[in-house]
Amino acid sequence: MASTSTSTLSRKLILKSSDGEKFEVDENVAMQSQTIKHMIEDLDDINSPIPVSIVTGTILSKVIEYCKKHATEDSDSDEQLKQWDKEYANNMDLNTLYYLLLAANYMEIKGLLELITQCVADMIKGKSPEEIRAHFNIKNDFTPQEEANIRNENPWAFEN
Amino acid sequence: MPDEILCHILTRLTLKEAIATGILSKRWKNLWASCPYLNFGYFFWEFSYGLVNAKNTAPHLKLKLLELYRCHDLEYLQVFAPNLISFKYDGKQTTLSIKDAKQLASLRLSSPDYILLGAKNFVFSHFSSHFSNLKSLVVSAHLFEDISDLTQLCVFSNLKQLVVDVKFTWSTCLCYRVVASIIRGAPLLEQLEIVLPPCIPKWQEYPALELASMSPHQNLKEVKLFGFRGDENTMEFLSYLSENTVSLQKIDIIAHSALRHGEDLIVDNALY
Repeated sequence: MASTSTSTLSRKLILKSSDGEKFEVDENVAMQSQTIKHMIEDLDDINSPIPVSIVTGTILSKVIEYCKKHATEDSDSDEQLKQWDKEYANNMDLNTLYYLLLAANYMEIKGLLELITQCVADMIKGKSPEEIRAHFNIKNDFTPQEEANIRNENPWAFEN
Repeated sequence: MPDEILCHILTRLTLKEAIATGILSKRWKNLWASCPYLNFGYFFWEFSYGLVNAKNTAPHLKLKLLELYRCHDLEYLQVFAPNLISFKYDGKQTTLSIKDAKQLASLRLSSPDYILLGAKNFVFSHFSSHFSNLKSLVVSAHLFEDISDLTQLCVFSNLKQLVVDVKFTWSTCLCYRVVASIIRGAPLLEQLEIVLPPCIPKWQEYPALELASMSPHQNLKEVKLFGFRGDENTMEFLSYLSENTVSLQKIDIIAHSALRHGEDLIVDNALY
């Protein structure tokens, strides 16, 4: 009933990053994080800053950008929103994706977690083990013999 | 990055892609197997004493990997999993029925049973319909006991890897006969591995193998033999291989025996 006015009447919350940066956001934006939702329920005074302890300001601003977009999703069609998600993820470098993934997991933002994991999965798809290692900077700590053993366990998984 | 998050990523890959990440590094080795398995259609039972009868009639469409290890009480198992790709079983020779798995590519069967409790032709009676689709077969030699005519049974048109473990000395000759017979029916076979038991056998009790010759094999490239003793049967088998293959590049002969423990082949340091 009051759907048109929810965003304007929504309470404001202050999120505080690990490096002390403060962000004022609408409650419905912040509530996309299950972690924050649970924190608010337990909080007496919602005017005090809510600590998001493992997320830096740089990453938190990106998380908020995502949550804002998805808090007002009725204005965009599903198609537009998907396109926005795609561009959002594509604009991140690997380092940012890494911390965004940790943040999404910690803050329990399902949509963001799905978006970033899919983005990383797409980077793995179609690459050889050597290419994957190079892309993600994974050090191969197997001996050639150990590596051969793993291949032999499920040889079909390594066929092209 | 916590395993939990990496698992989220792996569940967005196909099973094949996920398994292939096992080769990236030690961290990744068993990660795919520890992920919430039904996303992959991966099923794993071990030491399930209570499991006696298991049967599913509605198809498990997601099930792609099924592993059953030492489910001692299991009497009967029927699985209806049309998309099953890999089946691994270590346990007694129970009645197993894997229905309609037309994509079953990897089969691993072993059994600790010394005495065959009337379960004749364990491998053939339960799995012969899958032979022609298999790419990889890992099997204990004694499971072929009591097969009167091997020649008519073997059509392994897609088999690329064959591993035969000899758990009991008496099954060594059987192993060579089985392997020769499978090779004949597996034109695409590339890798062969045989693991002989560590105990010193009384070879003289065994008659010569007298393996039937075949038209030269065109694809077998690598042969590995663990637990080599230089006995007559083994020598006869090795010369049979070299005479009947044109593609052979390498035969690794290892004096140490080895023990298969789940997925790993552990090479025995001692020589007997």
